[in-house]
Amino acid sequence: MISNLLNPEILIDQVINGLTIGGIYALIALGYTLVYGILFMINFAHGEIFMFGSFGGFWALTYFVNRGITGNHPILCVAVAFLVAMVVSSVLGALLERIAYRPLRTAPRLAPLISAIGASIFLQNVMMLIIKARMQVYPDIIPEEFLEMGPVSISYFQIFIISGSVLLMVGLYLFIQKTKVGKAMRAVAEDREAALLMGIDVDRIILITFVIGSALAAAAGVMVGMYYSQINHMMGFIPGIKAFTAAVLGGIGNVVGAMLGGYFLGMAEALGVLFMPAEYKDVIAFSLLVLVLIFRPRGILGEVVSERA
Amino acid sequence: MKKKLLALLLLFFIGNFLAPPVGHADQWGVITIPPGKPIKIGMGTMLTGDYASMGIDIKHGAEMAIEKKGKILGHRVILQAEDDGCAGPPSVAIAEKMCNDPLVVGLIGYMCSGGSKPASDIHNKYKVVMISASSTALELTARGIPIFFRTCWNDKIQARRAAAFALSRKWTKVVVLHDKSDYGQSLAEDFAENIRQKGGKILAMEGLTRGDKDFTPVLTKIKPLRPQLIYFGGMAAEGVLVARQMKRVGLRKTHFMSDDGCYTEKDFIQAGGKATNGCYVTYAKEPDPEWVKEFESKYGPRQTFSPQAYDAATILMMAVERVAKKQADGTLIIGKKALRDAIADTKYNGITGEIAFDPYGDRSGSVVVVYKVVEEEGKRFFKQMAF
Repeated sequence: MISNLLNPEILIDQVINGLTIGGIYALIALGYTLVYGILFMINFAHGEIFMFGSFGGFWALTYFVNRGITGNHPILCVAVAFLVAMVVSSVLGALLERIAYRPLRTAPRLAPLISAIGASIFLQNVMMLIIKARMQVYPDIIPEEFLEMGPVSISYFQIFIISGSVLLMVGLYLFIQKTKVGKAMRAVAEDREAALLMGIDVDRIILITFVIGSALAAAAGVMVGMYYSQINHMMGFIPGIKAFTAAVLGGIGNVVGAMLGGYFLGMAEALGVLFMPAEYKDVIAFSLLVLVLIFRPRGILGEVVSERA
Repeated sequence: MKKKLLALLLLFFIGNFLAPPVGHADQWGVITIPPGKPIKIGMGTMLTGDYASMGIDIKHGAEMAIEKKGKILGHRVILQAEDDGCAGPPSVAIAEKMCNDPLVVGLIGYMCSGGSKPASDIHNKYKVVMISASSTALELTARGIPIFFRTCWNDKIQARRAAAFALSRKWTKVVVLHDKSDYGQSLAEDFAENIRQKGGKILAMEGLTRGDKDFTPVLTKIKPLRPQLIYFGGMAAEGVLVARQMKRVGLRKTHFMSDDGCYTEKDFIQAGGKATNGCYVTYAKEPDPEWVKEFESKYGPRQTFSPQAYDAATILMMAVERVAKKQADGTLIIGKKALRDAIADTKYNGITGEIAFDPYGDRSGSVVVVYKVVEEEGKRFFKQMAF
């Protein structure tokens, strides 16, 4: 199997596989990291927000298919599906913040964590009741085509996921760095009380953070649905954990770190399979996490934040 | 504490002596159905989760047989179905519950081999018969458990048939994948063994994780081996993703073949889209078409094991009817050993063909057929292959 490593064609293929899944991990990981950066809590219901987003897109697409309008405007339908998914997830994220986390903002740090786990189980079960626990299949409205470049072939879906996730991430980065709201987000992350004294509406900024994180997860949800075709109420669990791992790998609280962590994890999974039997895919991911945390306890890009009370 | 225990034990023994001597003593004890109480048939199958379509299909099969029968010797028959999650731990919990329910005469299930295996030990402890409609792992009938039967085939036959088919098509360079479950892995290993013995070559064997969605890394890894066939031992949820992603990584000339776990129209043909055209799966002979028509008018398209479940329920009810002794007040006394022996003696022409059991609880003379997913006149379906 080692000979595979020397085979550039396989290497390129695996890099593309890694970039595809890595982009999805990164998009979800951003939600974890944004919330952690501001509230210092892990939003364990984030995987379920991703799942609801995927279903939002699924419902929209199914509606279009039933109306028979996907044939003429497939791209427009997909764009609307993304929009619907983002709205569903954003509303859900905002509601979660309002109902499950805001009342506990001054409580001990374990309380919102437990609240998050509760919300996660609750949301899984809500979806289970809606879909009667059956697997749902994303409608195939855009047939899968391949871009052939010599021995390497890339699916247009892969190109779409890779470029789409990069675009979204660049957009987010610019938003945080260049806009007024982004500046306020950074200020709240740095010191909430001081930001409040400077006249920043902290509650609003926190809400916006949840909405942005949720919308990114929704985009990832629709991409996963279109790429893998099957979705169910438990689909948020594994990507949620992987993305959390990615966020921690990159340094939780750090936006660029979450992106890096996502790609790092995706690549490690894809390339790791070349050295080891495929059944150890998850072992590779979590061993890496342990290793990075031993040598860099705050993650790859983690900065040492001053101790807080 | 010790004294209390001793007293209890003593009471128990005295109680045994004092119990009215019953003329229908059974080596394994009896099941008593009091007048006015229903006869319960237990069922363990997946009702929620990834393979729920298959599980609910099994439930419908048994339900139909039981509704048709209605009553046995004046007692209503009811089905008590529980969600076994296609896994060991919930199956064991259901087994404990069912075996301790005095009205349960036997059970149809469990759905997956990984559940049937540990649950059969519990059933054996309490001597409550179980007939699985879908657990095909070889070892289930090789463990000397007298109360286990199945109306499906065992994987030895399935693996041999699949391998023979592959070799008849001159597919000798084969990659084998499985889902690491009791069912998928043992089937895949058996298949590989058959291929090797007959001169074929196994280029690689890899395990996948149930519930995972991305198999492109492992498929890319086996791509340079240029296999003629990828055989997958496992269920439709993962099988359909392998079939789809094979095309994606560029394994477009490689054939895909899988097992009865993928013989479901909903989760394989529909979920896979056009990527599943040309895939092969193994399954039993088609059941009686009259029965299929009746079933589908009631529950919609059938998936996989409903016919086997229908036959399993029918056999169990026939055996109950044969051995139950009706008392003057309407009470039914059913000897557990007698019930087991009655099932073992079954000679019955069911909707899935002639049913009889060998001494191990396997169905004798079961036939496994190869199907191919084809598209004809806009319809995509499993077509039986002449082989």
